[in-house]
Amino acid sequence: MDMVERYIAAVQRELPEDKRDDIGRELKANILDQIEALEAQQGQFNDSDVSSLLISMGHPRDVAITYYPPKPLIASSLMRLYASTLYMVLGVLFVISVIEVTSTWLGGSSMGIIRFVFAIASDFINSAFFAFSAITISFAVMSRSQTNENKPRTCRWSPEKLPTASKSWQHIGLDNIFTDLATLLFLILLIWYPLWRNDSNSLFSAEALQILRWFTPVIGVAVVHSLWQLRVRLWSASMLWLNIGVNTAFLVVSLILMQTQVLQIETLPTLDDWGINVAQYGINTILIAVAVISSYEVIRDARRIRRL
Amino acid sequence: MTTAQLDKLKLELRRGVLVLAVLASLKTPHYGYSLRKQLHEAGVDIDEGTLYPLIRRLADQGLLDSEWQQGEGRERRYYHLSELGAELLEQLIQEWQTLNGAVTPLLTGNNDKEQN
Repeated sequence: MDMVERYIAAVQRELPEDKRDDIGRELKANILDQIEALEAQQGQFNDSDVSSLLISMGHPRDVAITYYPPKPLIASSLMRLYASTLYMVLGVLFVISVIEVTSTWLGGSSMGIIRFVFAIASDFINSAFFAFSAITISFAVMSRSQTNENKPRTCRWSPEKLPTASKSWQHIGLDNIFTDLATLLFLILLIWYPLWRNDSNSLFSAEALQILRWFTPVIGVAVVHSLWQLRVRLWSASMLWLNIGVNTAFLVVSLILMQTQVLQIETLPTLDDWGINVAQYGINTILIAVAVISSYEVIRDARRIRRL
Repeated sequence: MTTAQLDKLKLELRRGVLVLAVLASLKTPHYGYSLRKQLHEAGVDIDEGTLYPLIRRLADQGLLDSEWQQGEGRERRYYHLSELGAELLEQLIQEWQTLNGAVTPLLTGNNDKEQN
């Protein structure tokens, strides 16, 4: 009997305080019934038989779970909202980290490209950790307070107003939107930084800077377009046309910049000749990459418009 | 199909039916072991790890009433159908009969023959 008592105590330890006595009492009654029935069948019932019976019932933790199944931290009805909120907030934090670290970098901090990337990662992880914890705790509390009558209501909708989206590519991923936003805002900072920090020189040559400043409205349009994408999350023909326009402008500007001296050599005093050559080679590679990606997107979107 | 897949599907198929069988059996009061024995004799095999938590869940939902009774030198918890449980059982039986009537011809293939 001592073994049965210990088994019940082990099950009770896995249960919430207010359920322990009741479930333990019932479990004991059920086990004793089984022992009695087996005794009647076999004639004798020793400790080894009790042990076999308890093993057949399962580990105390598993038995406790069957009596009192654990509730998920986040209710399944809130899971999609939870995932979207996490994605959105972490995306925004990533953009903010890029802006913050870029400001420090442009403000004269002597950091190489690797330290720059690590600084963004570190800043992002710090804020993301706090945001992740806060969001998860909030949703866990919402899940606990949610009853069947109190399920989250979805926005008003009607089937007639749902957008026509028969193609899977029409759905715009949040990761794409936030990557675009971070890149565009980073570019705006690089171009306009000397304007509000008079003490710092631009990385770009005067000619390249002039071209890029004329190009800024296109970047602004692209930022607004990305924000609009956050709202609608679905490619339409007009949005595809706008994307073609923006990408064509990026293609043209990258081709023009390839013909000019992009970097201002005087702002790179810490680099020797070899370093300057590497930097210019790197810029040209980036410009070629921008041209190729923009061309690809123009062709891709033109084909998509025909398929719509 | 693997044995694991078959076991999973059998489990899904049995889940709802077991509730019906337990509710129907508890028109007369039973304690856990006696209920299991009655179901076993009726051909419904169910292990104690499934049955006992199921009874508690149904009681928590208000479909069963329970009381502790002393007998043979120790206590046992007896369960029986509550008023709400009895109402729901009637509706579930109707649903079961409708489903059974609809599914049986599909399983035996009589439906196709009748249509042809």
